[in-house]
Amino acid sequence: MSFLQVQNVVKRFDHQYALNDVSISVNKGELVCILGPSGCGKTTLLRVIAGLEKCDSGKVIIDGKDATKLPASKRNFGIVFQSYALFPNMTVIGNVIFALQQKSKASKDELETRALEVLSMVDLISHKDKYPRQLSGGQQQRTALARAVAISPSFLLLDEPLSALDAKVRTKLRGEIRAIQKQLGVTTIMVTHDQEEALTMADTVIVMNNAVVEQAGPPTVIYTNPSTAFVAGFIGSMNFIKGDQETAAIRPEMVKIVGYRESYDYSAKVSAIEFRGALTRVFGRLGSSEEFCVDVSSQDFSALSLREGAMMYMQVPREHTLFYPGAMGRAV
Amino acid sequence: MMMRIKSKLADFSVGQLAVLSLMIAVFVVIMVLPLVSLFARAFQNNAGEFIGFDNYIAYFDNPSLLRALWNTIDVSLSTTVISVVLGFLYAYGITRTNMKFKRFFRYMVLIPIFIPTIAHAVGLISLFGRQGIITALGFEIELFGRLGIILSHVIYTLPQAFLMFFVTLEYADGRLYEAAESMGVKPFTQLIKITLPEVKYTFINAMFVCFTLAFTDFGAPIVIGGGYSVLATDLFVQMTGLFNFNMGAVVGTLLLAPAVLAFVINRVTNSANMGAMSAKSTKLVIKENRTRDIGFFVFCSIVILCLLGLVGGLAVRALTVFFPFDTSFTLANFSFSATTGGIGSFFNSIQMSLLTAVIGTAFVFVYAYMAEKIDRFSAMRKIAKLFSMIPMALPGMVIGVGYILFFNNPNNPFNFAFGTIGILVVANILSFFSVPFLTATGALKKLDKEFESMSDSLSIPRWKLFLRVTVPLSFPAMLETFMYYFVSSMVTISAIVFLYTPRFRVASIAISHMHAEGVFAQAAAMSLLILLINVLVRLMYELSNIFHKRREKRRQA
Repeated sequence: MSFLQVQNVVKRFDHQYALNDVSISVNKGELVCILGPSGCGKTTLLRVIAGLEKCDSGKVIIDGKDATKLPASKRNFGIVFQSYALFPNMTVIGNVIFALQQKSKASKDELETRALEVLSMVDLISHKDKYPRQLSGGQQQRTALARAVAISPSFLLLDEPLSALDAKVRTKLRGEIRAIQKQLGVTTIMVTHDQEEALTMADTVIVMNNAVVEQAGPPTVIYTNPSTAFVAGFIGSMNFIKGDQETAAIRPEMVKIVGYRESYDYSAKVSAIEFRGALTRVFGRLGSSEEFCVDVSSQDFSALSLREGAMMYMQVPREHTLFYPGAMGRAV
Repeated sequence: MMMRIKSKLADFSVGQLAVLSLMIAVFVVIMVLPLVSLFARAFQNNAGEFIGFDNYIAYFDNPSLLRALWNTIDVSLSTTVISVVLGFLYAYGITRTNMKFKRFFRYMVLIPIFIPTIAHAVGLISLFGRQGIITALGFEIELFGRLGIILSHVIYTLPQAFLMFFVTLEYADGRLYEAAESMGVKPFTQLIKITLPEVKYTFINAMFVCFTLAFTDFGAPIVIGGGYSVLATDLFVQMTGLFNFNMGAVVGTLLLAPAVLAFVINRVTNSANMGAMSAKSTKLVIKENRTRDIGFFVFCSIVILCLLGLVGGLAVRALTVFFPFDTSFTLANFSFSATTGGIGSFFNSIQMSLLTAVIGTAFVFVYAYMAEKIDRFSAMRKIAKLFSMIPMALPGMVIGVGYILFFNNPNNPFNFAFGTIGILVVANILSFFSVPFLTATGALKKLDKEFESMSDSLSIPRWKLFLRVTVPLSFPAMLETFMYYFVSSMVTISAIVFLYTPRFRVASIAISHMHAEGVFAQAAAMSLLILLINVLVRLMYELSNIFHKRREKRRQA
């Protein structure tokens, strides 16, 4: 059942479209990631959903009610910003209690009990009396999350919540955020430019580009069956082969390198070899210009005895090839 | 339609709109309308009829009035050349050499900021006047008139020029010099090719600032000018002696001219200077050069000795019975005669400055918050921002004249304010508004702009966010603003000279009366008291800053 809907929303900043007829639908309890390159309008969409930005036309429907004109404070959501926006002059627990005070008339003791409850959920009880600057980036992030969920919001908005953290912490927090979200069953919309984050965390991924939604669907569908050339090129790696009428696209791991005596679809001169741990990526040029790459498990690669300058022969299975109209594919 | 408006104004907007409107209305009353009155008056005759440029023609036909204009340009130009050169060399010495006692030199050169311009002149008279200390040693100069005014203005403008060069030179990009060094560029060529282009805009700005300050100052020429008339003293005579308000308005608009020009130039050069500093700049490593260090040490020492000499002169005159005839120590000069305003004027000054500082700081921060942190009503916020910068171009005397013409009108609903301490406070808040506004805006810009989104999502009203988060986080900037307003109000004379009443005199006015009544030692004593309280306030500011930084550090540990 759809909990939140955005219908035909348009938002312009000085004649530049930030959102051009955008419609999305979010089911109750799911985690939706809005994914796209910077400047695609994803943060604007989040702010329109939050009521922090007014849209020029279109509707926002929350829980069956038209919320388009509703101010942010009446929409009952929790939000975590990229910068966390923790109040630096208040302690961890002070931040949470300050948020709680606005929505509740409960006694100080009750508020503190609630604050401790959410802080234990994010494992910050031992840091509750510290100031934000005394915390690590990950701890600040968890404080912001605790503050956002403390008010028992009907939905949660996360604006690039992990982008300010280093890679290790980011991976760890992905799991933690997802676990807390599942535990609370709270409908969550997260904005990110990191496709790995979107693919690993989301129930539904919404890919945006140039102020429009390109595709919405489960991560596996987005990856295996991208509906536009942009999505195909933006998510993961993709080889594009331009034709006269259409562009063919195939993932590097779906291409098979074979011996020259076997039947092959394409041949290319190896231009570079990148060792990537479990996989090795082999680059070549098709014909005159198009770059092409193939992923081979590093174990298999040693058996191929390929080196730069040598020829490689490839089979491109038809069933894994995608076709897009026009010769406008973009190699990534 | 009704629905639309209602929903648009929800979400605390009503309150924001009200505060923003109030702020703009305040500026209209305390700045726009007085200026309109001033300009209107310059184009009217005594009967209030519009007469075009007749007043200006009359002004330029009057040789004695015209002479004041040339005199003013003359002393202002001389002051500008001397101050800019001294200020540059002094700042260069502190930022680009390895001489000793740099911190001492850096703070001591600010002494003139802490005393009224009238006291600079009193200090000079203590040294070089007829009964001056240096005169007594047999060294005589033609102090009263052109020379005295220039000397006094140099003392007044030197710290300003220094501060501007200091900021520019301090934040220089060391990489340029390292690159030049590696190419084998000689030090003198480096100075010409790197350093001078770096400070080019600062030179232009410093010249305009010094020129404008000298052009519009009233305190020094009134006591040290002798028969040498300048615009500021002419304006005073026209307004308070001859009651020729139309001619006063004409002089007022002339006084405004260089400041307006400077304002425009400053806008242009500021935008040209943008982005000159990148985050990647490295700190300059100063090379060893003993000759250079000694040279600058001697130079800076001479400058400081002159400034200390000035304070010393004040002290000697204030603390002796009747220099040079009776040099025995006394504190009698601190029991001020009542006819000049007495010690009461000193307490009046403190009262006025405290009120200015408290109200001004609160007003500036609310104003800056409304201009900076609200995302609606962009047209009104643009007007608010424009208003905030205009006071920078308004000399105190112009504000004073505008206030007489506007507020001292029986038909004006705000007429009740005239002749009260209130109007002095308002004039000060306006007069010194721009610098605190920039301080406040700078401090607010450093705060995460998502605090506002955060508070909207939690339905925290903006006023609550402002009091609970913005104010505590901007505390150092507020303290700085408070101190700036206090010190500036303690030393100001030009706006106030038209607005005070004999019942409520302030210290800087009292000094001029003491000088006029011939109780010179008391004028020196009062100057010292003002210096004392201002230095005290500055010390308290520095201490609380240290205290605040320590507390911040504890929170970071």
